[in-house]
Amino acid sequence: MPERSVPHLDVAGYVLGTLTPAEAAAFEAHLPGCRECTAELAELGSLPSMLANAAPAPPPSLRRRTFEAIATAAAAGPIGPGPTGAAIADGPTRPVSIEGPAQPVSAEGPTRPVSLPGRRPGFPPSTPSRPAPSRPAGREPPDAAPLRGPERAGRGTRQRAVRWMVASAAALLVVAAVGAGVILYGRDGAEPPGTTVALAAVEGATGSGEAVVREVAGGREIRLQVSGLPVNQPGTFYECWLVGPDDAPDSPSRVSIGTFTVEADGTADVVWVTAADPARFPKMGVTLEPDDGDPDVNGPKVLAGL
Amino acid sequence: MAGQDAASAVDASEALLLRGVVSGHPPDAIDQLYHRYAGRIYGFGVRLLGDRQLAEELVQETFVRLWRSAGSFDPRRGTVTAFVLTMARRIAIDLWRRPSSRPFEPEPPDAPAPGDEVDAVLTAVAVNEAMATLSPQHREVLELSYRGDLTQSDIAAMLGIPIGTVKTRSYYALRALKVALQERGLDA
Repeated sequence: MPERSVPHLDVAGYVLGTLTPAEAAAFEAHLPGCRECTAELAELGSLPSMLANAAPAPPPSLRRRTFEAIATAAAAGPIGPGPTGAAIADGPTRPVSIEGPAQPVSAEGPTRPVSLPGRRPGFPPSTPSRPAPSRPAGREPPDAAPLRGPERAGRGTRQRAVRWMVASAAALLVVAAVGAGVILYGRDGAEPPGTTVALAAVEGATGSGEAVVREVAGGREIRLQVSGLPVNQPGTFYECWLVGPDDAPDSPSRVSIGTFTVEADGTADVVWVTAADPARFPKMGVTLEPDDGDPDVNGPKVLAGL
Repeated sequence: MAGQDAASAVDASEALLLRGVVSGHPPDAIDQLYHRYAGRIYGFGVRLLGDRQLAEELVQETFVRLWRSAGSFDPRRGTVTAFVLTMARRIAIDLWRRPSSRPFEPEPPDAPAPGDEVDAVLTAVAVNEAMATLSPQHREVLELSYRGDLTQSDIAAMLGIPIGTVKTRSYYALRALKVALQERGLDA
């Protein structure tokens, strides 16, 4: 094919809509006298719409995971690398708020921003080669066992968050952000040693995991890493529990630590903070729960602490 | 040109959204930007990287970075679309270079949903297969171009190549796509 020159080449930009108005006008002036360009316009003209029609659509769940990643980053990272300017000038309290006012969450107001407590040095994420991990939001049944220990400010925020959570994913995101913020404070100093709990599949289930429990300000940080779990069906998630010694199906004694879904390879790596006392709830378990808003245990147990 | 006015109105409203990401007003600014750009970035990722999971990571990471650096947007230096896609492209390159990335393989199409028109699905499959046969440079220039919301000079700046190269590359990319479609029986 012979090399072509402008304006012939501009048939491509014209078809794609990437010419400036002046270039487009020049091409239109050129067109009537050029049979080649007229023929190519007819040949190539439908390609952009074919590309648009064939564009793959993102899965609906990606939106939630993206906003979880933002909440995690907002709670954990310094604001904005690069030119600071406006981001910093506007102050350190940037709201994380993803739902429009059209979706009220509670009487307390639809989208309570998370105020980030100032600009802080970042800390390295646990898996540096990956984008910010999606950290599922913590879920606590409103009737959970009394929580002990959180500092007053954190507790107020969390309790409010628990009320919001009943209504909306936006609130769940807020909980995630608050949780991650608490974790950050816990990590400001040297990392205290943790206790490792191994988890194994119960009969009929697959997978395994390990949880590291560590004292932090406001409670205990629990980092759970699992692998080999079946990928979640839509509308289901896994839920991690601390379980008391006298737990029974008809009189449960357990505290939800948080919920999560696994990646396509059956793994998850999540961190929560809980105020539940491991002395009262010494066992750990993971269940598969339907996304039905019922805070009780409804699904099968899949992993249990050894 | 009316189209141009509409485009600059869209850009002005998107610039307001970027500012909203920084200021918190409107509170759903980042969500609105997600609705405008997630599909675009995802499609860019799938067709450029050949992997849906990487494309999902690309969307997540782009929005995290957009959230962080919305304040650095300078309207004198380009449109919001160029700002967002430049960011997405850089992240796509990082993902592509990551040791764990699989070599490019075109993704298998979604199973046709019941009620989908079979013809439309088959056409989409053929179009994406045809795209996968192009060189990465040709795929990239078409991905950036086909929605018509960037100019060739925007694309030249994003790719770091002269505008003349964008013109030539766009032309030969469209021709190559046309041939690849004809080979698949799509005489578009």
